[in-house]
Amino acid sequence: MKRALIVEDVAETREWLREITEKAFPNCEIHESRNVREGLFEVKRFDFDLALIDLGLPDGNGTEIVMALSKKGTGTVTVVATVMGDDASVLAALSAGASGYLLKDSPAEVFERQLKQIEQGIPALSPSIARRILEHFTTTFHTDEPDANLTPRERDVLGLIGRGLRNSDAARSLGLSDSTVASHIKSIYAKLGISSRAEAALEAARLGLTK
Amino acid sequence: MASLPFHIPPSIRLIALSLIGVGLLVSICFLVLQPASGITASPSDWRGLSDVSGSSWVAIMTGFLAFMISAWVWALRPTDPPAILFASSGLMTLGFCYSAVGFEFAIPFAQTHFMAFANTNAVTASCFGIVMPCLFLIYPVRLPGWQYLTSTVVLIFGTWTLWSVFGPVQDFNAVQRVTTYEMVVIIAVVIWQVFAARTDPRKHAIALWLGSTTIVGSGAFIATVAAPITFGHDPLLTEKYAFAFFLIIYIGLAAGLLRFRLFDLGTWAYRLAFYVSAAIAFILMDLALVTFLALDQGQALGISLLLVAIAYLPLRDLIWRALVHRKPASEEIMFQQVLDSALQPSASARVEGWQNLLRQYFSPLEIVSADYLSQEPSVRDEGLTLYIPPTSEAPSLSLRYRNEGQSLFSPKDASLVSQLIRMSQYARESRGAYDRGVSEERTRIARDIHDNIGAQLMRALHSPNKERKDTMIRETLADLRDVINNAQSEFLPLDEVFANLRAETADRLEPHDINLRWVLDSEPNDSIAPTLVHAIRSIIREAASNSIKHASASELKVDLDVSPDEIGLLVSDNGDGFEPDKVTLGHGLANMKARVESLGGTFSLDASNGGAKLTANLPRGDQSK
Repeated sequence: MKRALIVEDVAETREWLREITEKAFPNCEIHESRNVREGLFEVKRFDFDLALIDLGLPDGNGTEIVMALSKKGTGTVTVVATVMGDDASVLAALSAGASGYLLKDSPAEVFERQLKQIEQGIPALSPSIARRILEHFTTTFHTDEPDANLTPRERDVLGLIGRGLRNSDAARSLGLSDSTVASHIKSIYAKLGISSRAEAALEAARLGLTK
Repeated sequence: MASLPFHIPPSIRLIALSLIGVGLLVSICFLVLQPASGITASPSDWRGLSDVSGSSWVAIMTGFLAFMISAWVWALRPTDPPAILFASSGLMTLGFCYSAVGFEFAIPFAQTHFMAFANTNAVTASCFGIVMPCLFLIYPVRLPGWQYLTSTVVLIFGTWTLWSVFGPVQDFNAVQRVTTYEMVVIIAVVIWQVFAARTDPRKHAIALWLGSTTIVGSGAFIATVAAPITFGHDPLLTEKYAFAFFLIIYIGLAAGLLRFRLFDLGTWAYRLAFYVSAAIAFILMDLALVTFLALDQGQALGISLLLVAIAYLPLRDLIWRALVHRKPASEEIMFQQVLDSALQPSASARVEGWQNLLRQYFSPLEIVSADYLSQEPSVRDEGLTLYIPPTSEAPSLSLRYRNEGQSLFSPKDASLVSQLIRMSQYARESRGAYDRGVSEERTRIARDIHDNIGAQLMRALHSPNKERKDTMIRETLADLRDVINNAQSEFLPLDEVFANLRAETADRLEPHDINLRWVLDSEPNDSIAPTLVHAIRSIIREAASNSIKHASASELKVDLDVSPDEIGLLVSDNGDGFEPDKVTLGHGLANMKARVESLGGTFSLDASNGGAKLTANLPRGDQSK
């Protein structure tokens, strides 16, 4: 973890995020941006290993930066840091290529722990979001794009997480290892990206992004 | 207005009259070109155009144009007295112009024919002079005593004319005298009219415009021809050249029609004239082609017919369609348009939208507001008019002359209007219902924010303990997330709310090596009131905090029993427990107790038998689904 980007408009929160990131990843070079424009500029100039991105920014939606990062394809671990965590925006950010999301009202140590987990490839997924993802795949079934459909196992994982089980609990109840569940979730995120791209416009409207 | 059976669309009337006008023009031209040797069909034997005097051509054109412009006005206002009078003046002009040309005919005529020409000329010229004062007695304003004055003018000049033309002593020059005096009367009435109309700017302008063109047009003729003869001099101009002065009246009318809305005609009068000219042009083209084909040889006929069929007819149809025809709107477009007009933001925009919609559907020449009380649309005046009942916002309207005057309104149109009105009403009502829904929703969200978020933030603000402050603010944010993610309904999905709570609690307990046992007994797809969620969430959070801080427990058990009437909550740990008597309830627990009791529930804490055991029962009241 050499270089991290933090995009956050509230100064206090930006400071809070920087402290946590420094603590989680010592000796990491941290770049800070206050809005979408600055964030995109940073993404253009540097390659980041980690990006913490707020969604509701003064000049637009942080999802734009998530897209820019995944388009650049330098393997940045992109984490959406939101406070309202409203399902629609989080789902949109995951579709755009975010590796996970965190709630900024979590206690600092919880946030730090979850951040480290995401960086290690253990994606966070709340029951609400798991339910939305299941709904999404149920309503948009892709017969022409088999890669964009969930496997039964992935559905099981989502179903358990949607009922409030954490990754490890879900793993235990399915008789799988934690890392297998993690890779299922990552695969679900990727499929979310594929299936969303196909009907991005439609989906955005349904999720209320075009409001 | 419906007293006369003028239930022919204006365009048909205008085409018919125009054809008569053209027919008369062709006839008079044909007759005037006939050689002295007698009537012949072969044009090569006809007189050359220059053999006929220029003044005759002027008279022919004057008569023709006066007739056409009059026909135009009358076709649009067939029952309007001023329009009838004006149109009659045009007919009279045609009469005296064409009859004057009769003297130019080369074909031999009997004396009686010449007498007929002379009589027609005298009578129509005088009638023109009678009609004009009658017109200005009632238009633009009705002058006081117009009935008597009209009768007087008709009686005096009528008798005088008939006496001089058909009386024992025929005196054609007497006609010049009659028209001269008629002119004096015209000038007098026009001046009176201009004076009488002075208070109404529009009518005043009409009186000035129409009056001055009439005085200049007919006055110029009287001054150059009739007056000199009357007073025993030679006319200053050849009579038939002087006829051209009358064109000033008719061209003046055509020019002033739009500006002054003469005879209440508007732009659409020109549009109708344009369409009808196009129609006549096509008819003449057809005639020309038929003539051309008839003159051609037998074999050519077939080829030409074929050409006409494959090229000319479709082309003609295409041009005609492009000029005149409009496609009827489909149902979807209709629905779209009704929605567009009914959902306009302001009332005036909706009224305008409604009128545009009607205009689009029926292309009436006129839309005027009508004094109409019935709630049902109806077809009036034999299909000339369609009455539109008032809607909740727009006044009642009357549409006149369907399809630019080319067709009539039918009962089908009336039922289409009913349908449009019903659709508009439905759209408006739906919009109203939607607006009410939105405002109810807004009220609910505001109440939610006030009751929960506001109260919690205040509690956090007044809490001296930093840690408690943070907890309360986090709780508030969580509640806010509920409000946002479930903004569409008053109740929250029970499964999802408890799933999130379960995940959150497990996340908090994990670093402290406390295992979570979560037992939820509920019906699927149940939903729960936010106030209950807040209470339950606070209790579980507080209990988890206590277990983490004080109990050195290894397991926390949450038991939720959801029945239709109440929710039973049991939170217990296997920690050290405490002596309730020795422990005063902290702020957290005290708050929880107060909250549960305020919701009509019971709350108890028991730690006597090892481990802490917290029990709460919350009635769902009428908030249960």
